[in-house]
Amino acid sequence: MGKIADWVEERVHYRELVHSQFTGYMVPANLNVWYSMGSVLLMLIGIQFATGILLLTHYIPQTSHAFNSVMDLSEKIPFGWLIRRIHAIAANLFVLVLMLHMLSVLIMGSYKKPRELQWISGVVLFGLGLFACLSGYLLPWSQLSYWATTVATNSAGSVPIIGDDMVRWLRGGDRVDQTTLGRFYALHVSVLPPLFTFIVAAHLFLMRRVGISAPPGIPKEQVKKVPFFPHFVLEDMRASYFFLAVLFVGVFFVPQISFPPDAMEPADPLFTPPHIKPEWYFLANYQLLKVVPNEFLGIGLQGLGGALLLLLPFLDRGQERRPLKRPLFLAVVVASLAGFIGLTVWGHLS
Amino acid sequence: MPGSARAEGATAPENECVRCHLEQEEEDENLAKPPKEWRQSIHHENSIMCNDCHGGSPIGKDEEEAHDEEDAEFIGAPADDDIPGVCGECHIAVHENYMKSKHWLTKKEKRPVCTTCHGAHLIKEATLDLINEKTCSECHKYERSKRIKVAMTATEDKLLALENRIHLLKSEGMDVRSLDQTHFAQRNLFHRLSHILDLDEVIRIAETVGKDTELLSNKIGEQEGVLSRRRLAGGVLTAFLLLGALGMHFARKSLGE
Amino acid sequence: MNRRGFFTRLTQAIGSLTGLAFAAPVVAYLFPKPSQRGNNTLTTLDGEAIPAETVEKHGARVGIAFGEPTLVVFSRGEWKAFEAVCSHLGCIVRWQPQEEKIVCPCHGARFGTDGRVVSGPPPRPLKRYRVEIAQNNILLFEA
Repeated sequence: MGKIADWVEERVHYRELVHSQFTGYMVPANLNVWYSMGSVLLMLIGIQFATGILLLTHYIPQTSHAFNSVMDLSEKIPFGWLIRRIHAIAANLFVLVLMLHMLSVLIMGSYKKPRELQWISGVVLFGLGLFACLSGYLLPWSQLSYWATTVATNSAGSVPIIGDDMVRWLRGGDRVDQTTLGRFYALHVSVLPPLFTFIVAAHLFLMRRVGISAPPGIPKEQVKKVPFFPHFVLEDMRASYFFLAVLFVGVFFVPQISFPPDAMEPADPLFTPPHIKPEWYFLANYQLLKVVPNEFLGIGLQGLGGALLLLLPFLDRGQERRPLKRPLFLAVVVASLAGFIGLTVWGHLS
Repeated sequence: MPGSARAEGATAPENECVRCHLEQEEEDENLAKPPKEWRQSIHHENSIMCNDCHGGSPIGKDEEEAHDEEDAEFIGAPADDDIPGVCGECHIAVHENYMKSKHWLTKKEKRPVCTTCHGAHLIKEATLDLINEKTCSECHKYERSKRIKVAMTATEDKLLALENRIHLLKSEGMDVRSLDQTHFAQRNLFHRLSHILDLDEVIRIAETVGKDTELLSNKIGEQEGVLSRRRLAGGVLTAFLLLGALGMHFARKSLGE
Repeated sequence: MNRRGFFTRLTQAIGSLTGLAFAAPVVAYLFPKPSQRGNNTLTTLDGEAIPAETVEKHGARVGIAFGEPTLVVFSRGEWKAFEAVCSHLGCIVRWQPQEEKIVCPCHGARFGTDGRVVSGPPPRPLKRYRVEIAQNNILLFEA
């Protein structure tokens, strides 16, 4: 072992790299648990890639076969049910942790100069993540997938003038059918994963290049430093193990999150099941569309919210990062969060 | 098509027939009564709409167009003797057995049809309670009916218990397609029995179905076993991962600042 | 062992166990299905029996028997059957009626009607089967 390492070292000089990137790379000692969300997300992406490839070995992207292919995969292939459930539940967990990640960045003001690009790449990843969830949702071609996708693509119709064309464009036709399945499949397995890889790489590169932020409060010069490996890696591992445990609680004990009864029925384009609702992370948007009397206003509000989020570092240019010293901003964040949770619960109950 | 999944929700789409009939409640209660009753029925749960039995157009723009006998094939309320034909459009096997039964073949002036026992608009999922002294003794002595009911009860209870177990498995995300199909077939075979009205035949088929339910029960049991083994494994894995997190925590602590 | 060494071991052990726990289902998921022997009737890939008369008309046919590609030949009023997978690199052999030889399209190997290698690279002869015709079905038996 040692000899091989020496042989490689002589040629590649990797030890210098390991030192500069891991053991000698110093990070602030006061990084809190919120700083581990990034590596939890990285782990979840890894899980999605691995389980996704395994699912791909049996999935048939054709309306007449898709549902049976995923059901047979979970029934007849050893541990197929496990792989499928992990993929579905981990997608939910991914969105949840991504929201926590963004929330901590908001509250600690880490998006501010010089980390604007870091923030923007993060918001783009959030959008891509939701898009991956939406496109993956259709693939099993169950009642749930079919009708959730029909409703989701339909909401683009509230955009004035070009709305109807947009719906047709998203679906590839008048209704959700084989064409829709084909394009969602292509997106989900061959466009989004490399795009994800690329932007995640950029996100990580920016983090290292600009330097990781520290919790606000203590001036940077006074903060003690610890090596990234093993100190901070252990903290990342601790968070990752915790969220893995959460993932498997979902997989084994609450599979209904992703597999309610409608997910166990093949799609029937002529029968809409009662109480069809989007996934929890779209519920707030869905409820907003229902509450706001004017459809365009609803879509407009969401567009505005997205734009504000994306351009946040340019709108909020103050130097101050401590949340309590930014009462107005904190109030806006808390109010938006309460609004989001409120709308989600409302959407769930109504 | 196994029916249980469709019966889960209670709000099906409504149509113009329902809307218009309900609107006229103040002028004529009788016009609003059928849709009101229908809303409580199993037909509503499964989105079986007015026009599926009565004909007519659920999208007609006015009264005339909705009730057009030519274009919309409106039939209105069918005559008593036509009712089995209307219901039999969908309930084929039951219809077939009913046509061979004494209920249909009776020489009496007024024979019992589907609606006599099941009602018209407020139709609920059929249970053995439909065989009761009050209903049956309107035309004949209850004794024979009671014997049929007793012969069917044990098996019916078994089928209901199995249905609940399958439902529970399904809500745990298990694939119950084949269990559902088998159960649906057995339930069907058994339910249409009630329309033969031949005691010996009822006893014979109740026995065979009873045996079949044993087999199905074993299959369900296997799935339940799989589920509990998975849960056990899941519990062990989760505990291990939490301990792992704890281990990482102490390992980090051991390094100090 | 000092405190730090103990925790290094501990994290390594947790990591390896996690790796195993995750790898096991993946290996099981990708594990090949047990190969099916299949029965002794010559069928198409979809499992439909091939009628003897169609082989009589064309002289030869490759179908599936015992779960493997199998060549059945009807020549000079006689039935013969061979495994159809060339023992060289696994290509499917054909019947060459003019030469009355079995030929492999990949490297031009030739087998005689007894299954033995006449020319070319195959290391082993083709396995032969005994043929019986029953109700227009082609049944094969170990020779």
